[in-house]
Amino acid sequence: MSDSIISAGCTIVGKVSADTDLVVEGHVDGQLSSTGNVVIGAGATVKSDVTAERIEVSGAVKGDLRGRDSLLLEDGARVVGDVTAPTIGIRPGALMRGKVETDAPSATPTRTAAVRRPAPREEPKPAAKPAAKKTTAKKTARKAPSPVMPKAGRTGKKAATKKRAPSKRATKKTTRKKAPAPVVPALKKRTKKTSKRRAR
Amino acid sequence: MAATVIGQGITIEGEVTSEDEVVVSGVLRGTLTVEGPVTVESDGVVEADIGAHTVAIGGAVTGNVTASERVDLLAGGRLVGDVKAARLTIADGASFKGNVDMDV
Repeated sequence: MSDSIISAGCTIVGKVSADTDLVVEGHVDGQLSSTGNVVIGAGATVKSDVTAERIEVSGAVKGDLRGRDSLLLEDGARVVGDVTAPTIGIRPGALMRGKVETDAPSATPTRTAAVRRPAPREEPKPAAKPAAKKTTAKKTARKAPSPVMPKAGRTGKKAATKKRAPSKRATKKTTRKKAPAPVVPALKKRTKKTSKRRAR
Repeated sequence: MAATVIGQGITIEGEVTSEDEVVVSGVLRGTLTVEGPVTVESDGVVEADIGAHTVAIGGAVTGNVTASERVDLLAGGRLVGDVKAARLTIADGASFKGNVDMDV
C-alpha cells in the first residue's frame, strides 16, 4: 500500500506533488511533480508538466517532462512537449514531438551575451568635432568673398578639384554633413591653384 | 480494478474524480468525487468535500461528506463538516463536529 497509484478511471485536475514514487494509470490535468520516481502507465493521459527524479512514460503526455536523473519513453509512449534529463531513453515505438535536452539548462544566458557583440563605434566623436568647426566654416564661408566661390566652381568642372567643388558649390547644409574641416585650407589651396592657373 | 491510492508523501490540490475506489493516506485539498468507496486512512488528511458511494474515515477530514450508501467514522477518525448519508456509524474514539442529514 505504500506505492501511490492514480488508477484508470481516476481524474485529477490540479496540482499533484509527491515525496514518493507515483504510478499514474488515469488522468492528470495540471501539474505533477515528485521527488521520487514517476511511472506514467500505458492507459494514462497526462496534460501537465511532469518533474521527477526518474520518469517512465508508456502513456500519453502533453507537457514538458523534466527528469533529474533519467527519463525513459517506452514503446507506446506519446509525448508532446519538451524533454529534459541528464539521461534520456526513447525506445522504438515511442512517439514524441518536442525539444530534447540531455543536459541541465544553463546555456541560455551565455547565448544572449554572445549575441550582444556589435557595439556602437566612433559615432559621437565625428559628430562633436565638426560641430565645433562648422561654425568656423560658416563664418569663413560668409566672410569669404563671394566671387571666390563661383570661380572655384568653374575651375572645379575643368580641373582635378572636382570632388571638393560640388560640396562648396552646394549650400551650407551639405557642407555641414561632409567633414567640413578641410574646407578652410581647401579654399586657400583652390585660390592658390586658381591663381596659378590664371597665371598660366 | 486497482484502486487509486494517494499514499503518504503525496499532496494533491485540486479536483479528484474517480470511477473506482480511492484510498487516501496522503493529503488532499479540493474536491473528491468517487463512484465507489472512499477510505481515508489514519495518516490521511482530506480538506475537501467528499461525494462517494461509501465513505470510511480513519484520518482527518475537513469538509462536507455526502454518501449515497453509508458513512463510517472509524476509531481515531476526525471529521469536521456536515454528513449527508442514509446510514452513519460513529465508532468509539472518533471525533465529529457537524450536522447530520439522514434523509433518504
